[in-house]
Amino acid sequence: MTRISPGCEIDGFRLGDLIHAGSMALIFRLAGPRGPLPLIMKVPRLGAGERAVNVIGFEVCRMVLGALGQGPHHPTLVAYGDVETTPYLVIQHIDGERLSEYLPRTPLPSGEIVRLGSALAIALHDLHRRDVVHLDLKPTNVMYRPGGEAILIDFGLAHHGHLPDLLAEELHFPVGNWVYMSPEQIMGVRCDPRSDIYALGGILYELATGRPPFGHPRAASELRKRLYRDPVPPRALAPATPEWLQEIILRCLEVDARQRYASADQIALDLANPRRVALTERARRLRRAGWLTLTNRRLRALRFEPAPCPPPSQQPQVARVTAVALTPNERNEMLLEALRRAARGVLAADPACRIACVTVVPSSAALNGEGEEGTATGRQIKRLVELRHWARPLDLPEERLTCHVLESDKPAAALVDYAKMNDVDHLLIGAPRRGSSVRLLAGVCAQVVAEAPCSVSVVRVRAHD
Amino acid sequence: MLFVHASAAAPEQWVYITSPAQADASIRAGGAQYVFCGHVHEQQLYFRGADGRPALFQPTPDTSIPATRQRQWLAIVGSAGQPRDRNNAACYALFDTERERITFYRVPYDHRGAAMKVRAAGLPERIALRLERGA
Repeated sequence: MTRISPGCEIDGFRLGDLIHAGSMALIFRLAGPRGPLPLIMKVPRLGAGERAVNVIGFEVCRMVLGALGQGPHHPTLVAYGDVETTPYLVIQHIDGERLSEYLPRTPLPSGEIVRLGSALAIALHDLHRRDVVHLDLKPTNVMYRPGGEAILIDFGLAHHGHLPDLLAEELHFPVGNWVYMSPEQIMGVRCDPRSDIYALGGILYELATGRPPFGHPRAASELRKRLYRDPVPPRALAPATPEWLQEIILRCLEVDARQRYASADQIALDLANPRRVALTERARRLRRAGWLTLTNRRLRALRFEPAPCPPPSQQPQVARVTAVALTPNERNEMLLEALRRAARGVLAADPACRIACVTVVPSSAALNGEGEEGTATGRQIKRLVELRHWARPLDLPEERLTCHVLESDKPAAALVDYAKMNDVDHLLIGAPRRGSSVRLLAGVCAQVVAEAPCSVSVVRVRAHD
Repeated sequence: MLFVHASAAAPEQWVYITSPAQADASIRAGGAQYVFCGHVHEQQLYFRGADGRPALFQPTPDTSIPATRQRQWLAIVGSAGQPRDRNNAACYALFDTERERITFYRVPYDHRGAAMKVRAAGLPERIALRLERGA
């Protein structure tokens, strides 16, 4: 193989400056215009003295990025070379800042953590919906476009649910960044999207406190500690950390994957709505577990069985969102019950899905400022209470139910926007009464059906005539 | 590329490839980069990793799988009748030699018509039932 350096040409691509020399690969900017995208070439370090994982990482990266195609939260793979003769990947160059550039300024104020964290959670959710688990999430592998969207890079250790896992069978030691590695990954599990959620928790922890939850382990034996040792609560290290943020972080860092968030979009949602984060004991914790609990956990850790991976399928298995558009204040009990029945059907068919109750109220400019209904907050609370009351018979745990009051004078557009912004998979909406004189309502329903980005079910009470 | 009904290790013995060890034997005996076989009626893909051990992958239908020349592969393509996985659709696979990709497919066919012909021909009932039940 010829020596690769700036200026030389490979398969018609002319190499520009060397922009990064990592432990696994060299990255060159590509000179000259070639199509609409700015490109880089990634050349794995192969040959004597280099690790076998570099070669497999190269193959994995090529497979996973190739399968992902184009998307808003990962770079596009443009071309690749033969692994035996001239291995290289030509990838879209991402212009933006790396999350690692923020580390010297930690602890960050919570507003900034919310901005960085929710963009990262949204990117992660997009990846998981495409049946990919990143498995090497760390601040150097997260970039932000000038617009704020996060982009995940370096898929050398990733797992694709529908492709053979070249790394699973070959590596008998935990590969990846040990700092943010989940307990199940330490045990060799490579198929659980919740491993990325754990790593996200580790990153949020570091942004909030200035240090990673378990320090920088130097030996594989140190890794096992996180199967039983809980991290110092962020509020003990950085007292300015709000309780809700500690709740989110520690929930991501649960040892048992089933105790974490089921999907990353829920983290984005919680970060965006601190007031609706369900606070538990985690939020108020100020010290680590005592020796008695610790001894118990150590004993249990000896038999630690990672949770089974959620199965990949043709459909994304990450918790799906069903939104129910409600107008509880209209007191149409029959219709509300019909909607509840429809929601029960959805919940029975998909036990992991989440229900979002949504109602639209006219914008607050129209309020007169008098009485309970007269102020924006008063009305907001009243509607929220009504939504929760509607959902109560569904008997859903806190994390599977959210309620939202949208303020808008254009109800249909508000619902469609909500569905777009929150990755809603299915929207249930009540049908206007047959022969309803209120033409407006019929218009809302029709517009939502026409414009929503997802399936819409129109629910109607059976007519008897 | 090698095509064999059962195992390339002993074609006359009709060995079922049901483990990585048996896949390994067939890949070794075949001496080819790609071995395609049937006999086992379920679709499966074995691939040999860098450490030499073959691993089993359960393919998802209609998903194109990169299968590069750098590794050795053994694909069990399934059968057009006589399925064993409670899915009565027929199986086949396509290998794109240029792009080095294998895609497994399941296609529905008139299995009732086929079963009726089996019965009309006076063949055992269990053969007709298997086409209908897919097991």
